[in-house]
Amino acid sequence: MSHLREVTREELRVNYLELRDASLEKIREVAEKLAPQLMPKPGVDYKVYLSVKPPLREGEELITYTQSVCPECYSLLRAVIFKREGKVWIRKVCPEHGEIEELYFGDASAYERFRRYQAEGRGNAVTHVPLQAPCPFNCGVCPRHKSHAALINIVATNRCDLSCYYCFFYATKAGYVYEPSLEHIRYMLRQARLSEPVKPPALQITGGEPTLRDDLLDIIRIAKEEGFTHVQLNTNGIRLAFDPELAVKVRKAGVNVVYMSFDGVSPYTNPKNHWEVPYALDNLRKAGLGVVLVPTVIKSYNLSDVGRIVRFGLKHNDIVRGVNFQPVSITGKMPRKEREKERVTIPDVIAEIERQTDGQIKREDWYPVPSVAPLSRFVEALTGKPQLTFTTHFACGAATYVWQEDGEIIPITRFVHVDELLSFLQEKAEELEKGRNKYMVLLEVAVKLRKFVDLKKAPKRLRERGKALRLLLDIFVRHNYESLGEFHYNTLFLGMMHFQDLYNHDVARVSRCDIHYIMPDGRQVPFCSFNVLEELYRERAQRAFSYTVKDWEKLTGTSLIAQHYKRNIRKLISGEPYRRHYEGIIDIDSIPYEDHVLASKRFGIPVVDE
Amino acid sequence: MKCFSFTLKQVDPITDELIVDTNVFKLEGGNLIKLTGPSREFTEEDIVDFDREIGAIAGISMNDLLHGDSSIRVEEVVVQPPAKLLKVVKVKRKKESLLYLLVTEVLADGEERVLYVNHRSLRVKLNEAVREASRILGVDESSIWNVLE
Repeated sequence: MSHLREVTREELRVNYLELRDASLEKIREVAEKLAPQLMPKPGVDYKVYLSVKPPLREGEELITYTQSVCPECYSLLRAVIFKREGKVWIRKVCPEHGEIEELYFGDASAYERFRRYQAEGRGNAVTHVPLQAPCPFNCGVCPRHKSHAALINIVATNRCDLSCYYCFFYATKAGYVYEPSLEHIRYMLRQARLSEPVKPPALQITGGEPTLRDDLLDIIRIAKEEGFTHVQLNTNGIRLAFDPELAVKVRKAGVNVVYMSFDGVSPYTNPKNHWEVPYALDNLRKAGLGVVLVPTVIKSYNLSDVGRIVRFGLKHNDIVRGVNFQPVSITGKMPRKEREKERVTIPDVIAEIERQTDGQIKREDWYPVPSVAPLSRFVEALTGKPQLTFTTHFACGAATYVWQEDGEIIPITRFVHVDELLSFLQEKAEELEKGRNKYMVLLEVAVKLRKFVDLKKAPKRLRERGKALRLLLDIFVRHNYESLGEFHYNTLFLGMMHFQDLYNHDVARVSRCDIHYIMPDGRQVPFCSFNVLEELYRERAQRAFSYTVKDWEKLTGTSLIAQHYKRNIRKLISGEPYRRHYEGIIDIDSIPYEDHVLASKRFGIPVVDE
Repeated sequence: MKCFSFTLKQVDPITDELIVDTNVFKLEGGNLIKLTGPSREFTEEDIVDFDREIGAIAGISMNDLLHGDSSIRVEEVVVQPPAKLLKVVKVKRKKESLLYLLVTEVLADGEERVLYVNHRSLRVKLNEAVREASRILGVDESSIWNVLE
């Protein structure tokens, strides 16, 4: 964006060479001083044009009005969400840059079904910044935010060993190195845990590529010390593929699960790490560390691969715990025709999975994220303690669970009457809230749970000695959450998480976000502000606490470029793990070596022979 | 100081129908005196104040107003600093009525500091909120129950 003042950026940059060895108190002092100055500024970073009402045209049916931003100038606009030809669209008009229309949800009936499950959060009693600006220019978290954070992201570094052509985030292209010190990380994590009454239990260590940090194990240790009970590592898997000890070390240090990029099953659809994934999976398997595969889905690129990605996950279900599809979030500015080639939304991916699995995973098997809120409400009413509750916007995400047995895929909805169970728990929560005796309620739950489970249709493993029912009893009656681990074993979680971009941006979604980033100035920012308004949040804050590339290279005695990965495809495809992992999923032998090389090089990753 | 009163009916992203009233009381000589002022239409200038006064406490934001059919009035109340205030936000739905109590202090320079709020996330029972507000304000609980009625 050209509207940002360069001078502002330069003025708000600390000398990180001086801060890197500073105490936590000194870091806090600097962060608290800088945070207010780094906030978006009205009139400079954005304007407000809410009086401009976007038009509705013939053949369009109004759903609602909301707020959004202009992709050109970030101005806050009124937007209309409407139905047309069975799909849901968003339209906004910027007085300076004209009309912008974008696909919001690819299936209007799915939109209406998902909306029925929306649950409203109760916000946070302790927040990080005063309320001084309209949403989304006040993130930090602000007192108006509707959900508490379920997952905190922390960027450990913006260095990366890959050089993907579309990425502007990594240090070489960004022109600075962002790599907070361990004390700085401790400060940020403490900031994230300030929230009340529900503290975020989960942390994702991300990047750049976090495994490039030599002190990664210390970061994991600090995360545990600061109270995060679930730590996940977000990685491209390259280092995990070549360093068997790394998987063991991070698991021992406290990582619960690895989130690994995996955009497809072939070199054409996954030139990022197609060749390394089999080796990474083997190392994770040896370490006993589960992994969630994370495909970013682009219509013209890998939408055709989603069914095979599910099958790949099921084939390696001994170590693959889940697949979390992320329909593309379009970065930068892109003309509408180009966007149409890429744009895909949650119901589009769900429909393709149904088609590509021959109807074994149907669209009705998926539930939006807030559908599980009655579970939290029930436990909260029972215990009297505020519980983590997933109250994100229904259009942000969806999920289901599947099992594979004798070649058949069995979704959870085949043997658990999910809607009826959720309604029952909601009803019992309301009774508890009105003062009904909790032991009477528990007794009723214990007796009636069986009516929501059809054991005959459950996977064999859950059928034996009524295990499915016992697990539900453990969770809802006995509050034994260790049962969840047993439930997840050999279960494949399938998720969807559609992060926004400047075109489909909706303030209603931002204000309900429960996946946040903790920033170096101590503010905690919703995912879609951090990454969508990245110049106002991610870039500005990280640049302020960064090294110059020159300083970093001098400090470490190495160069950024030297760390970039070079791929030896010939060696990788000739290894046994490669064939074993893809066998039955793709025809490995039909792909010429030249195609492998071309796919990697086009993506921006050089290929070597030795 | 702005007091917002409004009705809202929405079906997206949640189904909700409510009536919200806000009243401000000033502590004077151990009594709570209701402050009033002229009423006017809501404008774009009120957005941030609305979110601060209503969004932060009751969880209904400007974005919700845009999502549904709403009718909103703004009452401009003049407060002479320094002052201690009790703000009462009443949210009435079909099934339930909720009362949010906010105790603030307006300093000599006009800055307003929040001393207490029964935030919706804390699920504080109303009698506990009244007890806490009365303690901070130094008034009898009965004075607060009286204004709530």
